[in-house]
Amino acid sequence: MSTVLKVNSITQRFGGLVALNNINMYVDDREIVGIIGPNGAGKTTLFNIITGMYEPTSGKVELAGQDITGKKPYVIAAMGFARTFQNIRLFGKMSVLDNVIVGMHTRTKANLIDAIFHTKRKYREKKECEEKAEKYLELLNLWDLRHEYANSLPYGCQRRLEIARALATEPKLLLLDEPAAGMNDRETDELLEIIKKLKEMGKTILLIEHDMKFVMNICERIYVLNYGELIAEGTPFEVRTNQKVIDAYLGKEE
Amino acid sequence: MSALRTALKKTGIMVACHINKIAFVSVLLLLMFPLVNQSAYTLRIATVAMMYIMIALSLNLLTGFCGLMSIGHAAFWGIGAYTAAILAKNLGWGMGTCLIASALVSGFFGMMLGLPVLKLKGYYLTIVTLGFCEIIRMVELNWMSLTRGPLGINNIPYPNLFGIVLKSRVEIYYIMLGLMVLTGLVVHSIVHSRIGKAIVAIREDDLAASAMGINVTLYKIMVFIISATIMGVAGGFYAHYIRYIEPSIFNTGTSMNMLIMAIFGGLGSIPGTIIGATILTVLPETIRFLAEYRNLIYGFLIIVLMLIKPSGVLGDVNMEYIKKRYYASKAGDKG
Repeated sequence: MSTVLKVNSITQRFGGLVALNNINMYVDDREIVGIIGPNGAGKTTLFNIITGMYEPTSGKVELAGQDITGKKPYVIAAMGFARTFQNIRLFGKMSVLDNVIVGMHTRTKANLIDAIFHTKRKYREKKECEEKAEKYLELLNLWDLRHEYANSLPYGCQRRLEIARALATEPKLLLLDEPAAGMNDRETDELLEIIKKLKEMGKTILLIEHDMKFVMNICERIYVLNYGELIAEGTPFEVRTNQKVIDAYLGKEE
Repeated sequence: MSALRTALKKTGIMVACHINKIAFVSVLLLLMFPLVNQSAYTLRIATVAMMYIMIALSLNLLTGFCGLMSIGHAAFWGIGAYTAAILAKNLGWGMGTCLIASALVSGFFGMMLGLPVLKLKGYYLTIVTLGFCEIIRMVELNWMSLTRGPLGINNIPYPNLFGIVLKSRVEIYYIMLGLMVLTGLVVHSIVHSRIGKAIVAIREDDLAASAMGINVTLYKIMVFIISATIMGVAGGFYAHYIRYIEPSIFNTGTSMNMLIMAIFGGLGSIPGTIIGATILTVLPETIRFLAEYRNLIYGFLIIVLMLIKPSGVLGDVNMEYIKKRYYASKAGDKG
């Protein structure tokens, strides 16, 4: 089994604050891995480093063996990491379908010349994109809404659309930042089904989540962060019974 | 009220479904217009209106679709105008080559400004364009040997296309019509392509766009250059048409008026831009009898529209989506 993501002793300082301290982790192909931890533990910071939004103070991020530390986000996206955002960031005034098609940007090639002279390549790509995008939308139960504006969608649908858009980049690793945040039980169950489907399709996923039940249900391995330190890793069962994790979540007895 | 709304919605769907035909027929009508009306006055207004449509389209590509606001775009117009004027007058170049030169020079300036500046966001960029406009105006005003400064360049030769000198208003009208249609087609093609979707995505959320693999800075620079190039061509045409240019034409006030046209018609809408530029060019002419109240009415109209419909005439109307929704619902009814 090959390693898709490898994080080598990443440290991130913001001024005097150590947001992440010497983090090591990996994600293998076709794995579903979770990152949990209390608020402010550095989970999203880690995501931002992996996807190139921040440059770490020290350490290295590898994508399938290639060093990608310090590369620009759009380069990393093209190389194979796709993410969703904790606070939804859709293209509001574009249709649901177009949001997904934007996700295919790096997998298509039509340039300015193609656009202005309406070449065959443009039409072929456009057709392929639309067909593929509709498939992703069917997978995420959004097909009926495909021509609506993204910002007119209900909350749960917007979260799913972010996943559809990220999937459209055909990533080697899908990074989901709190995909179930703010969802009601029904929406969370639906999301769980979708992630199970993605797992069956052989996708590799790294997700941050607060909802313990959700993480324990779906993840094969879990990393636990607290105050920028990696305090535990292992299977859901190992993590659940780890004393350090229990202390971090429930507080220590004095 | 609800009856009116339904009627409006139905008309909207009809217009959206046949927008290509409507555009085609409009161009046909514009082609026939000089056959019906030869009055110098109306032809002049029509020509100027079409030039402003071209300008507003270029601004809308930048501001409406890519979300970058420029209040210094008259500078590119001026660069195009001066390039064409100097080449035509001093070197005797024909109109075609002059326009190409205007496009290249203006586009080059767009690139030179865009490269360092387009990493800035929002208001900062807007302020820089304002400064740029002033700098260019100052250069035009003070580079006496090239631009004759405040005297301006007069007696710019009549447009000369492939050796034929075009002196008649009608011929110039047709040249402008051609340029406008070309601009419309180019902007439409860009907007409805892979690149157009990337550009709109950048407007909507540049961070998310970069996470989708879009090179945000590259596309911003690309759009800026395209926009400046179109402005340059419009400027080159203007120099040939008016035959006298001086620096104060290309100031920030002019830039503002251009931007108002794009905003009035609706940012992010090509039909809206055309309507906006037309109304705001033709209206001041038709109410000329009001003399000093003219500008009052003009300002009043803009304020009223912004109060009733801040997004402009067609700013929140996406014809493509209306059409797709309509066909999807029709297909749904059958199946």
